[in-house]
Amino acid sequence: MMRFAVLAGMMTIFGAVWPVLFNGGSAAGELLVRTHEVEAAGDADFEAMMEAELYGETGKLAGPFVERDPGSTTGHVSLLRDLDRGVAVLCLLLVVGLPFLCGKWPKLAWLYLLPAGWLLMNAHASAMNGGKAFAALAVPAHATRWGMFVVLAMLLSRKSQTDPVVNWVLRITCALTFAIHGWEAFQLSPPFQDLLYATFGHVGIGLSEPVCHGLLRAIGVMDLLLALGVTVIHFRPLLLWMGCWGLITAASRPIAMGFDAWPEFAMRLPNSAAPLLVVLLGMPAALSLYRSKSTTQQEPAT
Amino acid sequence: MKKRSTKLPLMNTNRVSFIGASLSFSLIVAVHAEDITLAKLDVKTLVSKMTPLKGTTPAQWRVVWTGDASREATISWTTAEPGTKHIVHYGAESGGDDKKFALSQTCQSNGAYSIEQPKPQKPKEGESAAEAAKRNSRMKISPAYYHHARIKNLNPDTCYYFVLESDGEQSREFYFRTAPAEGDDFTLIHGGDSRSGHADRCRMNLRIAAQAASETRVLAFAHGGDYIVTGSKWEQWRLWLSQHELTTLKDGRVLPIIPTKGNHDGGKNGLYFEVFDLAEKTERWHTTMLGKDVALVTLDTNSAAGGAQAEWLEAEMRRLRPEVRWLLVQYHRPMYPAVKGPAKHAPIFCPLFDKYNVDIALESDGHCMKRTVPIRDGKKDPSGIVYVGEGGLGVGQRKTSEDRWYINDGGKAGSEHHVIQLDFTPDNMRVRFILMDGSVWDDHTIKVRKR
Repeated sequence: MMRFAVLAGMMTIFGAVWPVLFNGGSAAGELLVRTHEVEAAGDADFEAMMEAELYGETGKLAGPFVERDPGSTTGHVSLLRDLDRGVAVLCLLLVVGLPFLCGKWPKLAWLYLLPAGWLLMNAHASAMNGGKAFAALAVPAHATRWGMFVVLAMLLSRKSQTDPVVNWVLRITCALTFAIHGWEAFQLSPPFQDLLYATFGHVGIGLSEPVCHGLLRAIGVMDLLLALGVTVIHFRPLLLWMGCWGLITAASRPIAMGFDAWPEFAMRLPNSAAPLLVVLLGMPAALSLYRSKSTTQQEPAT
Repeated sequence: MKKRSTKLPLMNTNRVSFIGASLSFSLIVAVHAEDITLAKLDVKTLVSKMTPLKGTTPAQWRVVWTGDASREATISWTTAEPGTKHIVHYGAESGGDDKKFALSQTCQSNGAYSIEQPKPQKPKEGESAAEAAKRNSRMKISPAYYHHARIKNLNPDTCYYFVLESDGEQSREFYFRTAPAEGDDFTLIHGGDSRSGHADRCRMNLRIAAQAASETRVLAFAHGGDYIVTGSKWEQWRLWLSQHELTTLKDGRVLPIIPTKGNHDGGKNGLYFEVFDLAEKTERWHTTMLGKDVALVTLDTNSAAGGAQAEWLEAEMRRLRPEVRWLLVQYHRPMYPAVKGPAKHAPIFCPLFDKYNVDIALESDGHCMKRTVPIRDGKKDPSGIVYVGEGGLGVGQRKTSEDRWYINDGGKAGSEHHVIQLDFTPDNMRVRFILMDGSVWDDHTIKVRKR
């Protein structure tokens, strides 16, 4: 199980780091750069002055409009982008190196919280950046991604596979990701529609809009039920189907967009791996939470 | 008062005269540019060129084209108070000092912009509840009202002069030129991403005005989307609209805008549609006919590419391709990006562009400059489509990924604020990237396709 989790983590981080290195940076990097640029351009003062002059609104304190030297802004932006790439590479190195180091120094496994934090920060930055359908829900939508590294930290540091906290972190992150994706599907998210159109198109099926919408609504309901199911009951076929479905939806990206979209597949692997890890853990769900705790207490940490 | 001619000076005359006119206009631009120092913007001077939102004074004027640009236009403006009577007076002759026009049109659509007020803030340390309430009331965004007059039955290739009137308050006189009925002797300006960087946004607006003043062939301005950062915020839209006034030429000439929706322009309150008088359900994508020889198909990369949009696009291209000399597409997210990953629309849109031999694809969103090699079926092909743009109307520019095949070996990429100027002739389309200082970064010619 450890190997499976470690491998899934590696794939996830490769997928997440690739676009940072080759496609313009992370969401957090974009947010930092934009904040700096807006500040350097003196947008707030410019806005305040114009609002006072044009609309008679003096709510914002208007300072003198000062634009920084474009040269210094470019240098700062370049530094921020390097920092963004540096953090991404550090996360990659950690995820690749830690499995080897944790055998000897289990406490080092807590360093997995760094990539977890990085992914969480990026999800939050995506929400702040906006500009994408359902961007505001990015933190719970990406829960399996950052949750996967929290789980790895706990699994490798405690060397216990019967930790109820691990079980619940996995179940809750699965529930969050499936619930948000279900909601997006039910609301007919345009990118999801295009995944269906393009995927079916590849096998020669021209999907009509009503059929596409009907399918998405059904998928949405299914995802919402799966999200509920993973927290309430421990039912292996349901978890296995969640794993399969997570894999299918992740694979739909490169199927629709071509092989260049492999990072999108890789970074979504936790949507499949997390429910499968729940199966491998084999621990009970909500209704039997207390029994699960007592089981753990009976077993000394191994 | 001597009435002005309905045709632009020397339009449709010989080329020598045209060059002479261009030179004269360049001189005017040089004088105009002295009004505002681009290098060091003075906000007060800029603001003095915009119209404050006050009472029923018509402000934030724009002419919008989404259909037949030879015969129709929507003239829109904003007032601070709702008013009761909103009319556009217009005609093919200048109204003169007494602003008398042959025609008038009452606005068909008036209403309050959907404004989301900021959440009240709690009292700061040492601040009483009354003081906090006062501060919160100062933060409140004033209401504003849109007015749209859809005017029809215009004559092609004609200057239309107009004055906006709201409850007796009149604007100064403006004019715009309709597209020719046929032929393609004109220029189109395209640009995107004005969402942040107010000073540079203003500079680029002045650049657009300068381009139009220096080249009388300029007909309209196609915006590739991402006007502002948060599409649901009226306080951002109103600044964009006020600053858009800077694209108006000194003599009152307004460049009609052909809008595209960017990924930052959305929002549940639908302000984008209120600003440009578009029906949210039926006009997310549209075709602007610039005469019978040039068609600009505007797509929406916020909506699904497949389904209704793909069906519409295919039908539209099947209809247009045999009829028009130049078939252009514009949309926000790039299919062949120089910075980010490609839009998810690419697998659906690009095969249709290939199938119907689109002449050029105008893109935004990447915050950079790019001209790809001609691409067909995902590969370099001399008969393929050139993808240009990526947006630089104020927003901070990004570093491009130089290793992408389509911007190498004949393609080009860079990072500067810019507009794209498309000069149409019967045989060629000249595509130039004009930078903020007026210099040309790229000059590329696309030959007309054999029909």
